[in-house]
Amino acid sequence: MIRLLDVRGLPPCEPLERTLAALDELCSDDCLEVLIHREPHPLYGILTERGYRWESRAEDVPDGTTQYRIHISLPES
Amino acid sequence: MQMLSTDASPPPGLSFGYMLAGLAGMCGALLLLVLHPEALLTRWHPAALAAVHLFALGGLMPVMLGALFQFVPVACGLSLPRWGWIDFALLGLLWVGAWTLAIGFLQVSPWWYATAGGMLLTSLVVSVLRLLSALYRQARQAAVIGALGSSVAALGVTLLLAVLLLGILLFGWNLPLVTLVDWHALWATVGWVGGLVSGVAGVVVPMFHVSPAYPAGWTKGVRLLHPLLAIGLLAACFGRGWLVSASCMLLALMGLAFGFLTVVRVIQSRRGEKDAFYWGWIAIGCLVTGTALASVAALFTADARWEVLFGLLMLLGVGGFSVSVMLYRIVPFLIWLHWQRANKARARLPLLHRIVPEWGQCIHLGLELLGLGLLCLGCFLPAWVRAGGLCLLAGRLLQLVLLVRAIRDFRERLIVLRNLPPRSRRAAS
Repeated sequence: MIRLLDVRGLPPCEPLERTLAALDELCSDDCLEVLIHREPHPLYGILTERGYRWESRAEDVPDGTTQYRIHISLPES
Repeated sequence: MQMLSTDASPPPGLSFGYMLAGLAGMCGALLLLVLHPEALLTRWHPAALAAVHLFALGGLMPVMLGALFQFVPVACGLSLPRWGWIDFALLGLLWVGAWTLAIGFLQVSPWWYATAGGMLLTSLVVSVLRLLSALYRQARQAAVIGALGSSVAALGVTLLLAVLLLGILLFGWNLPLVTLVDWHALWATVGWVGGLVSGVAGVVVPMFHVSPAYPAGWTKGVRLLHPLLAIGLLAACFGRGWLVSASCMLLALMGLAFGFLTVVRVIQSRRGEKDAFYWGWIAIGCLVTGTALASVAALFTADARWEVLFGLLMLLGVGGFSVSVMLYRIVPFLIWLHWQRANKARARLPLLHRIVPEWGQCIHLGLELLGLGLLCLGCFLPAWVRAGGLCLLAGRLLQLVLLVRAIRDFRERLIVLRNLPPRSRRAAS
């Protein structure tokens, strides 16, 4: 199952806190999709260190800004 | 997509070392001012020169380098390589060099100037080249990377002008001393400090205040900062006074625009909290505006006290106060981030805004603003200088204590986190 977490518009470090908390709650066959308004460089480092599989995609928003959609799967056991 | 690994960046302990050394340097400079309140009577006073250089090179510079090592990588995806003991050696050269230069100014001694020059140039040239190399190797050139690169290049120009000044002091080179001093100071304050503050604000203000980005027109216009300084320097070298005044006026207008835009952006914050950080950035916007107005007064009056006021506001106000406000975000953020990275047990961690207590931040920033106000008054009424210096020193010492406690807590909790067993994940539902 894909769980969506929208953390757009939150100040640092709430997006990172909420993403890590959501990852803790994932079951072994779940994925997490995070929607965020700026590229979360610290998150990428943590995901890689913990063995998560992830992919980040920038998307243009009608108001001229950019948002990022990050798809995260659990580490292969 | 470029992978960021904070492991590839200098460790947090190095950044903390740079920042604490910087705060200690600032305290030294402020102590000089307390001991020599007559220093503000003229910018040529030995104690004024000593305090200015100690604050800039022994204070602001280490803090800014410490922030660039760790904070910029996480804010911009920039990765700086670790250099191990060399990083500490560069800090040592910088810090001791700054104190040596201060002594040189107080003693008016060529030996101290030469020794300080050797240490400072070694440390700063290496740091500048390293940063420029890292910044320009970035595959993606975000606006902030360009702004940081320009500011670092401005530091390079400042160093070049410093070499020429050393040539005059040590070898009697036949060069225009006052012109070179003026533009050395302008490139250091407006080019390096001003460029760094305005560049970082473009990222930090919208990010932390959850407010609209600075307008595209401003982001493009601010790129004129360093070209205008270059025009002013060349015009001064070739005796084109009208062009010097024109470029300085344009720089002042840029300062007014930045101050106004910053205050408006902070007021538009959707964060919903009016804490020390909120009021701190309002104050930064006001200080930039005040500095720009002081520069206009210095340009059009024959009263040298306005020059002293401009320098004071630029260095202690825009530079020093911005550093004060941002350290209460940078240090807790780095602490929290490295705790998170070590937290495989998913233990409960202190909230980010609790790492340095709000009451402490408010007292420190309040003291600093009071001290700045008294020093500004002291430019015209010297009796207030000592009181202003004491307020600033007390505030800075408080900040040092608050951050040392936070860093001590960081180390203690990190050991605990690393020794906890990782938390296991629950099975599929």
